[in-house]
Amino acid sequence: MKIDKSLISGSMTMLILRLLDEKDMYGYEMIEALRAKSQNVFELKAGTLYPLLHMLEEKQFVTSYEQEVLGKVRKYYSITRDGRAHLEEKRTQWQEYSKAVTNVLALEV
Amino acid sequence: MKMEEYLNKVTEQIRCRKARASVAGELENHILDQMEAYKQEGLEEEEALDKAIIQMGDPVEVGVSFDRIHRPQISWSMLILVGVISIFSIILQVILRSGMTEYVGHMAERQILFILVGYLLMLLVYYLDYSFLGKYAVQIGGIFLAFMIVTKPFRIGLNGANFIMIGGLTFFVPFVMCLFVPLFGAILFQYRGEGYRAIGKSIVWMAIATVIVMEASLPYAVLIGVSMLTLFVIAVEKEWFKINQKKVLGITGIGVGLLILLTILFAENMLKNYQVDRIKAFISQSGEQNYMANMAKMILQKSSMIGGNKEAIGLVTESLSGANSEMIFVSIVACMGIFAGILAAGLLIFMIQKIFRISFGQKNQLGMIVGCGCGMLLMMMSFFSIIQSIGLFPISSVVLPFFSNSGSGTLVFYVLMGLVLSIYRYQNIPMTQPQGKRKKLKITFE
Repeated sequence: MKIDKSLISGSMTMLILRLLDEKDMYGYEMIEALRAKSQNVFELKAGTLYPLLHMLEEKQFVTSYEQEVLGKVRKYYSITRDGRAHLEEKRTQWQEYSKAVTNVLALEV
Repeated sequence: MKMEEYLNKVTEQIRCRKARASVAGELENHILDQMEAYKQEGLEEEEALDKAIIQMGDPVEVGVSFDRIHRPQISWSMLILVGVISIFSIILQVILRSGMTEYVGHMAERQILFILVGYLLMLLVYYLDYSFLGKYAVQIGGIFLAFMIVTKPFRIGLNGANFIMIGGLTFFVPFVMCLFVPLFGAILFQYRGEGYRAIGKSIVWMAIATVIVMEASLPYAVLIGVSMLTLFVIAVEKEWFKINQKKVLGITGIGVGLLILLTILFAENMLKNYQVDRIKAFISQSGEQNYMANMAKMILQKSSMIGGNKEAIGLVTESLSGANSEMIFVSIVACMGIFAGILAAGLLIFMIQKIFRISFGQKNQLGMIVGCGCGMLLMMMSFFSIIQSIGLFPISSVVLPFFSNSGSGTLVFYVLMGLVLSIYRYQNIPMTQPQGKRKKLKITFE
């Protein structure tokens, strides 16, 4: 099923932070993980992901470091304490919002 | 090649050239990963690459979104803060000028000029890219110290030759040496990974610099020495040298302890007579040398809460030596009120706290250490200058940055602030070495 873009973009920050909450990852790994976990619903383009990651780094929600893995220098991202706090905030907002939407949709007029 | 074409299109959108290499490297890695995945799904090499590139998204759009993030930053709040302090200082000089003899009045005018030129100088340094320090710090530091040593016979001054004259300007040696502190930070940065050799070399740098300052002024030698030592400890703490931290920090602690002990034991020989008298006077709270401290106390007691007090201003301009330099804090209180004094101290504390916040918030470790060097100097000078003015410490020649009439020293303080602003400016610009260079390095190791 194709999902309207604007529905996804607002919550992408939250999803990325959630992924990094599990473990440090590099960009490609995140796209793969997102695709797998969302059963192919979230096909995030790399051109969207990296600017977003850099923006999160500027806001100090994530930090990055380079590490050599199998002869390749990879740029890993890691969530910070501020990032975790932001994730919690977003998560609560999202849960309230989605509950409200579900409730309204379930209305039988 | 298609890949290069794509990466070029992306990076062309990023106006800040310094950020380009690192963005391109990251995207290139991603495309290669994606291509590899497609190849495993059974696509031909070329087809896989094409698909991987399409998967990235429109290059111009992607580039523009990177451009929005990696832009030079300007800390408006810091610029305004330094501006407010400068205006505060100019108003003070105007008040002091009106009550002073012609000569001192002239000094006030000169100081105002230095403040204005200093502010412009700060903006100039802000536009400079400080990262060259990370590459050439050792060379620049060497030339710097060599210059200080070679020019020693040509120095001028009343109490010992403590001034270098360049053109029509005289530079007080300790102020010039303040500039060495951030430079020393950059030298430490360059020594990363060099092990115990780096420790030895750093100690030599610190010793030479401290001795140069000590010949001109002992209090400044302590300030500058402690600032450098702090940077050294930060560098060891951050594991820059890949050595046994605890051992080195322990030995450093013992070394500093011994140094303090030696200083106390041989204080009489090292200090000039008037310095010994001042300290004795401070301890016994009496004697002729305590005159200045008592005068300062009297003036502070006579000062009003808000606004100048005529009697206090009279005493400042007629009887307080150093009213426009090391005792400036007393002048602020006398001329503008106790509240103004608290405000001046508060503004400086706020500024210094901001410097450290900016420094420790840096991902770029060069920026972190250079910023800390600037912060340490301004913090220690402000602290000692204020506590000596309010009678909590023996009076020394340490001035209050931005407020004291310190001639060319004023320019040095603004340069330090310019460096901090420059660090802030480049904080969102990744400046990792291009990938190509790294690979070459690896080959030489194998």
